[in-house]
Amino acid sequence: MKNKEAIEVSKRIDAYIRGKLSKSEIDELWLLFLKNPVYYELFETELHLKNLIQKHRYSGGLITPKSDGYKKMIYWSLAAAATVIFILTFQYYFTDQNPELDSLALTSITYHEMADGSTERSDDELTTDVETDINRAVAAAYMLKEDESIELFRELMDSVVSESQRVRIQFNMAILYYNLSEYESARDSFISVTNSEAIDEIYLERAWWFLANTYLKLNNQTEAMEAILMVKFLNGRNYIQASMLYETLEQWQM
Amino acid sequence: MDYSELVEAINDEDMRTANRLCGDILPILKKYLIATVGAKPEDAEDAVQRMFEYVIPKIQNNEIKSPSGLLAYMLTAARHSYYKIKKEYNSNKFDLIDENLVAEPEQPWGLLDKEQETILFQCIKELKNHYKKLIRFLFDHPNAVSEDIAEYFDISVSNAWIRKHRMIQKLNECVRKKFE
Repeated sequence: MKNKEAIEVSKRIDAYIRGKLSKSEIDELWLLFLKNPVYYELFETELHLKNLIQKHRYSGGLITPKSDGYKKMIYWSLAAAATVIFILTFQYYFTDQNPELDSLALTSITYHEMADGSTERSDDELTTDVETDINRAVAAAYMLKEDESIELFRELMDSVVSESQRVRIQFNMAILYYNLSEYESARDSFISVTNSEAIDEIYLERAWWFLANTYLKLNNQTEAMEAILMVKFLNGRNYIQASMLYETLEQWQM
Repeated sequence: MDYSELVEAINDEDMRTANRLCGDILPILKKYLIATVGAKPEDAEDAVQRMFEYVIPKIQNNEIKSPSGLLAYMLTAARHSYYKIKKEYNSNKFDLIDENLVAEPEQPWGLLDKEQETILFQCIKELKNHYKKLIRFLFDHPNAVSEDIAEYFDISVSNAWIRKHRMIQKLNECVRKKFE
């Protein structure tokens, strides 16, 4: 396979998967696949990779919040996992810090990851008002008005009526802190979220993942690996990312 | 692969070679129908078989004027063969099925296979660090194009294409080995 030709085919495969080829261009590409079945294999591999990436992107929306009993079970399972992780971490503990850790972390967290206010109306007017205000603060973040968003969330913390609201506000503030490079505040907020029993599993997995990234930003490999193990344990949408990152960190540790 | 060899084999009545060559392209022709016209695997198989039954006598009767264009001819013939099958299935419901009225999927997601996805996932984990960084970037930025890769890794756009292509090659080699 000539390299230049292969790259050209690769570009056409990419365009095909993105839905950017006309019918006649698609047929031309399939003709190439028939002439050279290795191109077809590359296409199939890229198609499956793209699908994995898209699943990773959308899986968050497919996970439904679980019952309180389930949440408690998760909480205690996590507590048990934390004990094991503590032992593992102790075994692997090291003091050298790696200056490149920062480069492995997410550069920023998209505001689509934020926890919205509930759209269901409550009998309690105050509850409904807080949910509306959470959405208002999230909307400010969407418009990249981070300072305004943080201020709204801070004010809301004084008027929350439930633990569920407090934890969602804390989670959203942690994301804002992360994007404003206030990593110590982000760490504290994410830790507070992961310690709560009131958080939905979907946000719990995300909180551990973002906490792991925050630790990377803070150049703390040990804590980052501990948080990544939690992400792997929860086996959610960031599992692939977490597995890859963990392996990289393990190699750096050697 | 030059399919003028198939024309020669059929004309020489070398059915062993002819069968081998037809067998080589049959899976891709099937997948072509699954991807482009949304055919079910069993209908696609049926359509390709019928296409061969239609095309081979044409080769024997020297009706194929350009052997090098045989594959393009087969693609079109396979598609028409599929439309014919659909028309037969639906003959009680419709008087006529025009191929232009059959909704064609724009993207080939019908080709996805659960087992292959699982194997690919294993292969991603086995990639070397150099490529893992690229994979991580793609997972973080699902809609990233080569220009984004180039900017992030501070390389030229053509090098971004090369890096991505090589990563796909590595993944493909790994998937192939695990399937063997």
